[in-house]
Amino acid sequence: MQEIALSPSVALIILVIFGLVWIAFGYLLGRSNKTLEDYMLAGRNVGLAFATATAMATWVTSNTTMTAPQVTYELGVWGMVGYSLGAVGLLLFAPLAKRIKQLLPHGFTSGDFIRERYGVVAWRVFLVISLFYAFGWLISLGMAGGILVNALSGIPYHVGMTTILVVCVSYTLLGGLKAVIATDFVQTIIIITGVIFIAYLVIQNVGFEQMHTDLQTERPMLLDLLFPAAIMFLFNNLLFGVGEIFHSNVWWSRAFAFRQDTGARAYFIAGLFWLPIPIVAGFIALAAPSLGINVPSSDMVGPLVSGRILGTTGAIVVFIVVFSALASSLDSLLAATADLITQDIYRGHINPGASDEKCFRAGRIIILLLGLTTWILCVPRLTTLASLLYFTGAFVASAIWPIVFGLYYKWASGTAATLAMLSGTCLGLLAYFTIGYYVAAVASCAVSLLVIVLVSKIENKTFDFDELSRGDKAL
Amino acid sequence: MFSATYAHNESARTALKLDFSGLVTYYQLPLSMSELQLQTAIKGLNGSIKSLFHWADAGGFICSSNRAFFLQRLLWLLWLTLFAATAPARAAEANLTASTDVSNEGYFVLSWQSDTDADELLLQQANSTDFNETIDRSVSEAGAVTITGLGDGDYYFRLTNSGQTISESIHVAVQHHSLARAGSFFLLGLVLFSILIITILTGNRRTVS
Repeated sequence: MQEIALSPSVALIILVIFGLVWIAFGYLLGRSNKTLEDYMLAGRNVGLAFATATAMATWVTSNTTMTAPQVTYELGVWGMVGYSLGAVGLLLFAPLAKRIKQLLPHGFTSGDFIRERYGVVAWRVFLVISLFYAFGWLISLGMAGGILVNALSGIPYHVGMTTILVVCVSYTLLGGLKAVIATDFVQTIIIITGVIFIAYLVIQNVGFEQMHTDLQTERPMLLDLLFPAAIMFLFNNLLFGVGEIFHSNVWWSRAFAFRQDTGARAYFIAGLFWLPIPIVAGFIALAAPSLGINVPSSDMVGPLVSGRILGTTGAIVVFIVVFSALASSLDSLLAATADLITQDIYRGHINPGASDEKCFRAGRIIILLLGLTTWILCVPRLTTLASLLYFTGAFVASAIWPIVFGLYYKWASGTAATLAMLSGTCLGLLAYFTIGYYVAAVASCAVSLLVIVLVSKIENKTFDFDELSRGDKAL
Repeated sequence: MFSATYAHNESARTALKLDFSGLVTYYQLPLSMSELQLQTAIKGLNGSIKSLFHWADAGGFICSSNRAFFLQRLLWLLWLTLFAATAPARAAEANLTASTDVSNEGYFVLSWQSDTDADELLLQQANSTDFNETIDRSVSEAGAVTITGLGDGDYYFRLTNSGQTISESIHVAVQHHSLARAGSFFLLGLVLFSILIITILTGNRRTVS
C-alpha cells in the first residue's frame, strides 16, 4: 500500500489556510494597481530584495522540489548534480537582464524584442515556442500539485490539482505581478527555511553508509559516475535551463519590472542561492531503496521519502515548502504568459488598437482562461513530470542563440533566427524520441547554433540597434 | 503455466511430471508406490483448480500402495491437466507487465493487477529464471513500482503471495547507451556551453565599451 504521511484533513487545512492567505495577499496588493504597467510589471520599480526573492522563488519550482528527486532517482548522482546546473541559466541571464533593460526600457514582453529585432515571421515562430513551453510548464506545475497532495495525504490527484490551480489563479488575477512578487518574497523565506530544516532532519535520520550499501547492491548505476544516460543529461539540463530562462517571458517581464541596474545583481544572487537546493531535494531520493519504499511513479519519490523519513512534522514542512514552491512558480507563469498573450496575441494580432484599459481587462480574462485550459490539460495526467518538462527542452533550447546573438550582435538576421528555431526544435524532438529526454536540448541547441550562424553569414545583413530604441518608444 | 512434479526419494528410479501449460509433457508410473513422496511446485492456479488439486492430494494418492487407486488418481490429475489447458487465461492470479522490454537507462515501471486477496504480496527480482537469488519488495495488490539504477543485464520479475507464485515471470533487458555515445553528447554540450559563455562575455564587453 502507498504510505500516507499526512491525514487528508491536515492536508486540506494547510491547503485552505495557505490558499486563503495568498488570495488575501493578492486582493490587498491588487487594490493599488491603477495602470496596465502596475498590473503587468509592478510599476517597473522592484528593488533588489524583492527582485532576488522573486527570481529565486520562481526558479525554485515544484520541478526543483519534485523533479530533482525524480531525476536523482532515475539518473543517480549525476542527475542530482545536473539538475543543480539549472542555476547557470539564472547566472547567465544576469548580464542579459541589464542589456534588455538598456535596449528596451519600455518593453513589456520577450515577444516585443523578437518582433522589433527579427521581424514578424520570427516573432510568430517564437510565440509558438514560448506558448508551447509555457503550457508545458503550467501543466507540469498543475500535475505536481496533484501528485504532491496525493503522495503525502492520499487526497485524490484531481482534488489537489484543482485546489492549487484555483488558489494560484485567484490571487494572480486579483493582484497581478505585484501580488506575484510579494507572495514570492514570503514563499522564498518559507522555502529556504523549510529546505534547511529538511536537510537537517535527513542528516539526523538517514545513515549514509546504509544508503550507500543498499544502492550499491540494488541500484548500482545510481552511484556510477560512468552512467551513460546521466552523462548525457548533465549539459542537456544546463542548456535546457538556459533556454527556459533566456526565452521565457517570466524572466523578461521581471527584467522590465526591476529597477535599472537591479536585474543583473538580482539574477546573479538568486542563481547562487538556488544552486544547492536541487542537491538537497535530490539527495533524499537516494534513501528510497534503504527505506524499502515502493515508488509507483518516479515523480512521487520526493514526497514519499520525505513523508517516511521525517514523519508527520516533516511531511507538513515538505507539504508547505513544495506548495509554496509550486505557487511561487505557477503565479509567475500565469502572469507572464497572460502578459505575453495580452501583448503579443491580443494587442499584436487580434486588436492592434486596444487601449491600455482594454488590455488590462483582457489580461484578467486571459489569466482565467489560462487557468481553465491548464486544468483541462492536467486532468488526464498523461506522463511523468520529467518527461513532460524535458519534452519542451527541444523547443526552448532552439531559442538560446537567437536571443543571445540578437541582444549583442548586429549580424544575426531574422530569417536565420526563424530557421534556427524551427530546425533546432525539429532535431531536438527527433533526438527526444529516438534517444531520450536527456538529449533533446543539446541536440536542439547545437542545430540552432549552426543554422543561425550559417544563414546569417550567407545573408550578410547588419541590424541597426537604434531601430530597437525607436520600436521601444512606440511601445 | 502450471506444473506439478512428483519425484521419488533418493532411490527413485522414475518420476512423473505434469505440465498444465497446455500439454502433458510426460509421465511415467513409479515402480514402487510405497516409496513415493511428493514435491509440488504450483504456479498460477486459480482458487477452484487449486482446491481440486488439494482434494486429490489429500485423497491418498501420494501414500497409496494400490496401483489401481493410483491410476485412478492419475487419470483425475490428467483431467485436471486438460481442464487447465482449456483455460490458460485463468492460470495466473496477477497480471504483471513492464513499461518496456529493453531499457537504455536502467529504469522502467512494473505494474500489476491482482484479482485475489493478497496476504503478503512480494515482487521478486532475479537475474535468472530460476529465481534462486531474489530481491524482494513488499507491494500492494494493485499498483506499480518504478525500478531504477540497474546495470546492463537480464532481469526477471514475478509476484508471490505468501510464498506462492501468482504471476508469470516477466523479463526486462537493460542495455545502457554506449559510453562513446554518452561522451559525444557530453562533449557537444561542453562545447556549446563554452561558446555560450564566450559569446555573452564578448558581447557584454563590446556593449560596455
